[in-house]
Amino acid sequence: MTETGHLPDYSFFGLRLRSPFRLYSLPAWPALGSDEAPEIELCFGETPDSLAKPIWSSPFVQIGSDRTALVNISTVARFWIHGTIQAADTTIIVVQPAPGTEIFEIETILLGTVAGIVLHLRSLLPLHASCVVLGGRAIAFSGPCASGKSALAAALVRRGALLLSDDLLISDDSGQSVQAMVGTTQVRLWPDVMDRLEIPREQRLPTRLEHGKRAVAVPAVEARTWPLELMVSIESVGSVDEPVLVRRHGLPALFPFKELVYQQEIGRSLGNAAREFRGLTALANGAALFALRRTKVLDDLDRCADVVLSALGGGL
Amino acid sequence: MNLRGGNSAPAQGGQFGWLVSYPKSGNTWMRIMLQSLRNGGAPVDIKESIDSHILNREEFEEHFGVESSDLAAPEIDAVRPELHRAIARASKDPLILRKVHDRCWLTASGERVFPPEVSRGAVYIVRDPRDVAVSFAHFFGLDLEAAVDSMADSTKTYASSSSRLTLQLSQQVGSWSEHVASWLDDAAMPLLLIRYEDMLADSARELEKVARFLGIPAEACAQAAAAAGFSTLREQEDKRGFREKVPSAARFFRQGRSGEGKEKLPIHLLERIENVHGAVMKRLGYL
Repeated sequence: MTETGHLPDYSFFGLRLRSPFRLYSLPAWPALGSDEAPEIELCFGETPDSLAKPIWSSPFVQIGSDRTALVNISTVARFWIHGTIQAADTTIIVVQPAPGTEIFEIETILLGTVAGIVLHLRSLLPLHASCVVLGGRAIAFSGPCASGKSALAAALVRRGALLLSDDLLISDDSGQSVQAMVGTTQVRLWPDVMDRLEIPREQRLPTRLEHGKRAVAVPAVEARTWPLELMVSIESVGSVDEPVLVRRHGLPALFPFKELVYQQEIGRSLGNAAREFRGLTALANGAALFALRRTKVLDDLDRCADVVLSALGGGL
Repeated sequence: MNLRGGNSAPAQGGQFGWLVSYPKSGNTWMRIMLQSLRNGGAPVDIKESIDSHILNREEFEEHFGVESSDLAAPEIDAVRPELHRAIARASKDPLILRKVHDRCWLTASGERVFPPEVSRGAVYIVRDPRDVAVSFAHFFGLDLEAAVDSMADSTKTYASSSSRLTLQLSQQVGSWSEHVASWLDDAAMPLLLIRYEDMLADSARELEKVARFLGIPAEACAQAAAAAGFSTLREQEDKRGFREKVPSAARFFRQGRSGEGKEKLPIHLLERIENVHGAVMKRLGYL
């Protein structure tokens, strides 16, 4: 599966990643400063069946007491993540593919479940959010599963926005203002949304075998970070007829944290609770917060985009 | 075991109280009554979410640390029992009430999806399938024929589409008869059978049975039944909406009565229901 020839390094949510195979959903690492060592190295190899005495465990994920992790999606691959004793150390991700798996399936798991764990190991704050850049502002969309984060991001990209990241977003509060870090260059959507957005079938790339979700390459930003100015929490409710955008204020607007923080339980098992609180406080203070209350039907997707665009046009 | 099936012994020590029914059989009504009861008979604001929801992806991801929409359906189905155990381990609530539309089923490896060791018991709410058919058709925006077809479909699953993402995890429902029989005959936990028609006749009395079965203090049953009265819920839905209404339904709280099936279903559909579900209907006194 190792590809010969020159592959670029990739920007893995702002971290430099070196991979033995081509990745289609991450931007290339900028050529400048290309002699720096990568922060994450991906390689094929043997992985343990399980970790001894894990501090957190589920049928799919184990977190070891020595800051290692094992992700096991039995029909795709096992991913053994180690080397990150300190947050700044190089993280090694060893991939042991399952028989018959496709490389795009490995990328799917790598960019979701595995990425979240790596980012927590490196003491970053991964948010469960999709983000676009529009009119010079980064706008992130959070919300529960199936609330339409990716769909709304894709709908706005169709109206001229650029994708900053889909489903997983790094909010960096290390500087003066909260920054959203460039993430994926593809958005992952289900057929109902792709049909609604009239995305041609030939542009729909598989994410898993025998699975409905597809990846679509979309226009994406080039800059590494962007000031995160707006945070919109999507709520699908049966009690509104039209989508409405409501201003919210303060930390409670980000409740429940377990919905907003990607793999929050894993982050906390790694001792990141204080880091999480600091990051969310910075976000609540630094970004304008909104709730988008929308209907439960996909028909309102364009109107959701309208509401966001008209609010932006009105200067918020 | 009684004649209708099920083990009506008092509930055991596990945390889960499963509120089980085939869809459109009074489950939401019972959930609202129980929510009121657990709050001393207080009104329930149905515009806000009701406790005792169906298992969803948020919980799957919280407890398993994995992106659920990247998994194939069999990978999720296989770990449903472990998800229930994980929720029980993580919760400090001695009684976790959950709505269930699944039939009582086993995973591919033969494990019970509703593990008896974490279950206090199951409340099974049943309704005359002829009335279910009419309500079902209104709820899902189907014609009566399609509703009756769906109720006879052994392979019926919910929230299992490969064309869209749903918050709920996929549920194996099966046909109406199979659904009833799977729980009454094979729940492997204490089970209380409640008839929708009895809830219509005296909701406070039926609520009290459920409360005693699950070990919930039953003093405020009359207030809770009043707080969840049909006209109250209908009025709330008219004025402020109901979070659980689906787009295909004009309204959630529609008629709330029995006998509608015999009035509205054409003869051939009444016969079809009796042919397909007659044995279970007789067992429950509906024929």
